[in-house]
Amino acid sequence: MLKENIDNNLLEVRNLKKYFPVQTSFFSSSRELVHAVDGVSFGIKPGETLGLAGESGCGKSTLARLILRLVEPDSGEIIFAGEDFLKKRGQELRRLRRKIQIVFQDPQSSLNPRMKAGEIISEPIQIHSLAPSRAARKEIVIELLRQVGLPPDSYSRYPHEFSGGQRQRIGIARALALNPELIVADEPVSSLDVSIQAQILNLFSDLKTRKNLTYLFISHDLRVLSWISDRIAVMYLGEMTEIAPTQELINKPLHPYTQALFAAVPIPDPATQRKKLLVPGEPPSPIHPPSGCRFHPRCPFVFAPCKDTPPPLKPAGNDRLVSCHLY
Amino acid sequence: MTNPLLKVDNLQTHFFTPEGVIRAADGISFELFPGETLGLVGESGSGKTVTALSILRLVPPPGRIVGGRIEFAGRDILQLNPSELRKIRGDRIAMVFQEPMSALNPVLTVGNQVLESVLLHQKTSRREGRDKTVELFKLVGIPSPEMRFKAYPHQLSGGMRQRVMLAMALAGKPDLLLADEPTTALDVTIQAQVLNLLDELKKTLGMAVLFITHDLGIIAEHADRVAICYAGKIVEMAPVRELFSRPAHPYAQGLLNSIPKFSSGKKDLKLTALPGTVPDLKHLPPGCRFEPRCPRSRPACREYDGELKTMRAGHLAACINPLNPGE
Repeated sequence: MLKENIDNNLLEVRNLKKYFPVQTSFFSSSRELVHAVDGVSFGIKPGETLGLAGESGCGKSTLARLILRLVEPDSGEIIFAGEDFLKKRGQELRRLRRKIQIVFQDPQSSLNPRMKAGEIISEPIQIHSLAPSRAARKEIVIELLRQVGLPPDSYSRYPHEFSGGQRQRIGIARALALNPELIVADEPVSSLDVSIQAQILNLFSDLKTRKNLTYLFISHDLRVLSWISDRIAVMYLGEMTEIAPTQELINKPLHPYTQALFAAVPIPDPATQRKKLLVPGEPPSPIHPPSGCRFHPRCPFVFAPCKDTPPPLKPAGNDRLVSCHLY
Repeated sequence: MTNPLLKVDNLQTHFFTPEGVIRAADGISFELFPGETLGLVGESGSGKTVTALSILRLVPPPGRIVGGRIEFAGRDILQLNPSELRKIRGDRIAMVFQEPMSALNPVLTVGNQVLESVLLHQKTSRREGRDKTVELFKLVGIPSPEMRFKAYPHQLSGGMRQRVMLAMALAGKPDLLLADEPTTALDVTIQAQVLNLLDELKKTLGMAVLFITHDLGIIAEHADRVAICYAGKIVEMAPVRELFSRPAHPYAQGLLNSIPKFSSGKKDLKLTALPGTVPDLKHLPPGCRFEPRCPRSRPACREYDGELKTMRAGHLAACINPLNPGE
C-alpha cells in the first residue's frame, strides 16, 4: 500500500489472519487449520466502493465478518477512521460499530420471520438509543422505508409478505438505520433474479451518493462488481491476488488468476468471440494450501520461483497491486 | 428441412394447490431439432423447469399436465404407457439438475450410481458395465476415473459431482439432454470448464440440448436458438444473434438491459431495471402478462392473449407493440 494513502483511508486492513480449526477425522485428536483469511491487507478511501471478488471458499465472507468483528481475527490490524478497531471494548466498541453495517446475501434468513419489517429496522435505533421516543423512532423508520423504495404500510408487514427484492430492501434499510459510514455488502444481489438485481444495484448506487457512503461490496459476479466498484480486489485461497481500479482490471488483468476469472464470465453478446483461458483443475483445500504462490498448481504461466516463494502484493503502476512473480 | 426431434405444442402444466391453481406452464410451444441447443431463459417462476419436467412426465404433485402435446421423435410422450415411457426416459432423453448433491445418493459410491444407469440402458454384464462407467468418467473429464469410481458424493467437489451427473445422463447415449441450470451452483472457472465439456460432448455425440438458465451470457455463448419465458409463457423465440441484436419483446429487451456489462468507456450511471416484480401465477393480470411492467404498454395489451407472432423468419414474439418490428 502506498504510504501517503494510509492516512486517507476510511478502512485500513493490515495483515489480517483467521484460521479455523477443523477436526479431520472422528478418531484423530489432531486439529488441522483452515486458512480462511491468510495475511490480507487493503484500504478503502472514504466514498469509495471497493469490490471484493473471488470464488467460494476464498475467504471473502470471512473477511467481511472479521471487519465487523462478528468473528475475531487471530492477528492483524483493522484501522477504521484512524482508530484501532480491534483494541476497542465496551462503549467505545459500540460507538464504532454503529459506523460499520452489513447487508447479507439471503434476505430470507437474515430477517427474523416473527418481527414486522418496522420492528426489524427500528431495533438497532432502539439499541443505540438514537431516537428520543417511540413516535420519533417510527418516523425515522418510515423515512428509511421511503429511501429504500418501500411504501409506509410495509412497517407493519412481516418478511414473508415481501418478495425477495423487497426483503433485500428491508435488509438495506436496517443497515442504514444507524447512519453508518461503511457498509459491507456480502453478496447482496446473488439470490435475486436479474431484473430485480438491477433494481437493487441501482438502489445501492443511489444511496451511496445521497448518503455519502463507502462500500465494501462482495460478489462472485464480476459483471456486478465491474458495474458498482471503483476498485476491485481479487482473493484466492485466503490471499489477496490483485487490487486495481475497475477499468484497468477489466482492460488488463495482470494476475493469471484474474485473467482466468474474467475469461470465464459468459458475455451476453453473441457477436464477441473470445479466446477462452480455461484454467484446469479446482481450487485446492484451504487446509493444506500449496506452497509458494497458492495459484501455481493451476497457473498456465508457472515458472521456477512460483513453487517455493510466495509472491508479495507489490505495486504495479496506476494504483495497482498484484501478487505474482511475473511482474 | 429436417423433422424436429422434440415438438412441444401448447403445453399446460398446472399446480393445484389449496390456495389456488398455479399455471406454471401455460401454453408453451417450441421445436427442437437434432443436434441443436435451445436455450430456455427466464426468471424464477417463469415455467422453465416445469417445462423440462413435463417433457419427462416427472411433474411432482400437486402438479399435472392438463393440456397440450409433447412429441418426441414422432411419438406423443403424453400418450405412452409406463413401460414405453421408461424406454425413453434416461435412454433417449436424459436430464441433469442444478444441484448435483441432492440428485446423487449420498450412501452409494458415484461409480455404482453411474453403473446402475449403464446396466439399465445398455445390455452388458456387470464387469463390462464397470469398464463402460470408467469410460464415461473419462469422457466427462474426471481425473483418475478408476479411483473416483469408489468415491462417495461428499468426497467430490461441486464441479466433479456435476461431471458425475453428466456421466450418468450420458449412460443411455441420449438424443436429447435436458440441462436445468447445470452450472448455476458452480464457481465461474468451474462453470467455464463444464460448459466447455458440454459443447464438446454435444459435438462428439450429436445430442440436442435444451439448456435452461437465467444467465443470458451462457445463452449467448452456448446456444443456437433461445426462447424467453415469462410467467408460464414463451414471449420471444429467435436465433441467438438475432435476439441479442434485435429483441422484439419489451421483456427480452428489459432483461438484456438489466445485465451489467463490462463497459470499456465511462461507467453508465444507472442500470435500466425493469420496474415491479413477476406476477403471482395464481392471480395473473388479464391479457399480456408483462403489461403491468411494460414501458410500451397500450390499452389493447390487456386483451391480447399472448399468441406468438412472426417478426421475421425464425423470429417469434408475443407482442402487439414490438421493438425492432419486421419489415
